[in-house]
Amino acid sequence: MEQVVDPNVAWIGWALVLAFNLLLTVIGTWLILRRRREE
Amino acid sequence: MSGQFLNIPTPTSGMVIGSVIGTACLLIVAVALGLIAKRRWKSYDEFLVGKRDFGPWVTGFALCGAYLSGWAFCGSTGMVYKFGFSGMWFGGIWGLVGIIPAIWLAATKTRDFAEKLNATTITETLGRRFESKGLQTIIAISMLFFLFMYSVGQLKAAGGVWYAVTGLRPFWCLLICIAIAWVFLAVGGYTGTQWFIAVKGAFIGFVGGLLSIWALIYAGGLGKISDALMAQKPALMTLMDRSLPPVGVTEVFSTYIGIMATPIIFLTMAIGFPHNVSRFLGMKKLSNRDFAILIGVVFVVVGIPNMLDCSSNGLVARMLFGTNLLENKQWGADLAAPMLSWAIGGTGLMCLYLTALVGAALGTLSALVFIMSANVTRDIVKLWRPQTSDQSLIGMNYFLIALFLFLPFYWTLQNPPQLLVLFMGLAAMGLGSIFFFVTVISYYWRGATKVGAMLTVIFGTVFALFGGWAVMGRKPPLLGLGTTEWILITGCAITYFGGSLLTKAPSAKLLDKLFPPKKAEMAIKPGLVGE
Repeated sequence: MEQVVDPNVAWIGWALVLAFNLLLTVIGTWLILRRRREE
Repeated sequence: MSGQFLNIPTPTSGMVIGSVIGTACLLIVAVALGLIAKRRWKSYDEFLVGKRDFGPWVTGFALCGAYLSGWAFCGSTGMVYKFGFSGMWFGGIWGLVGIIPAIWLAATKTRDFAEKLNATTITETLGRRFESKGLQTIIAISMLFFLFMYSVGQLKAAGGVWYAVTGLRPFWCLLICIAIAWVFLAVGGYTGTQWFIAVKGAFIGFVGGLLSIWALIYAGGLGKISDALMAQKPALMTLMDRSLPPVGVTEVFSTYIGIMATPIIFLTMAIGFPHNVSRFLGMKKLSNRDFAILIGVVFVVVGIPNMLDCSSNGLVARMLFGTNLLENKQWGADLAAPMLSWAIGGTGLMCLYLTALVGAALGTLSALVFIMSANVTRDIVKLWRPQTSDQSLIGMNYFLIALFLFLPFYWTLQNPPQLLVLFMGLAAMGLGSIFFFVTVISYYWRGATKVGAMLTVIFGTVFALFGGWAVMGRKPPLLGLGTTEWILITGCAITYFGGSLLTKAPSAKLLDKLFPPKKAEMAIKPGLVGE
């Protein structure tokens, strides 16, 4: 069966994962820096 | 070939001269760095790890350089060109969040453990962390085996693309490259290698970022890319292409199990690769500001090119070339990134790209070769025959560096044996899965034992070999690449934690030295301060 393709779904999926990763990077780094300061 | 799309250009004198000049400049820089670094080491220990005084800029760029191999720089774009969006988007984006946790988890700990244990290699750090010469030897052999497999493929893409772009046989280009690599590895030691990889990391980050942003602008934005690809083949614009076979390598593009495995593959590879973690061995003690700079450098240099290489670059190449590149049976999709650079930026950008690709391959190969030679001299010969003189060990290193550089060169020109090709397939995944636990988790878990680590190394090595056959060797494939990764990582976790929980941890004296109580705990138990 042929897939029905909506290219917007691809770009939205891509952008969401990208945004999640960028956010994770910033929050993770902030938490590590805070912990280092405490140590 | 379809006339509607661009075709591979015939090499012109401009392409040949530009590529030769670019590569020559890169190699001159490499030799110069090696010669300057020669003055910075006096002993065998300094040859292996420098003076442990590298700051966040050099360490950050070197980490990017070790991580961004020829495959990451060129192969990922080729995958997306061939399979469309489903090719690499998920893994590519997670690649960014893979290398950043490598800094979070491994940077400070690698430096501190190595310094406390007076160790000069990752393998030696682990041997001393577990108080086991046997484990150190097994890790050295396993690491040597995997890094060797991984190193064989490093020059392949660069050699192929060099030939396709310039029309010159890659023999002389690659031979000169490995001769130069020997100079900066042997003369410059760890310092020369770290400097070269750092320069290469900064350079390919710049070229990769430039190409990616330029390609997006050239294509006219995301909407234009969608329209062009939907007109070619709508399946190129799906996040998961169910029309591809659900077993074998394509499982990671066509099933949920496969797609969900890609972040695990990229995360464990970034954190577990010994050539990545080794970049922290020679690092100075970082302040908070230094640590933030280190994260920032890697985020910018790896993040932007990696995300776009694994998504829009391949799509724009497909938009411009259609399937014409796949009709080149010898190099096929490997040509996607260099041809994209030619299509959007002409000869100048293509020569810059080719120079960066040669640098990418050479830099990662150098990082691998330096560890492999130290695996033999430091982690096997010096460990079991401590009376061996430093001079003999350095001489032995010179020879092994030459040998480990020559073999990938030879197998780039001659097809490697079929068995080797199968093992190469899963070498990176095996390395990542094993050393994610054995190295990084062991920095944090006091309860880890040498038996747990040893079982993980044995299981990971055996299963990675089996996986190479099951995914790539058997026709039809027995397993998908994603399923194999899940089994590999779960098996390594069970052997590591299970083996450790059932056996005795290293001495309390060693563990107290490596895992000192935190300030908060010391405040609760003041008696600890004086101990």
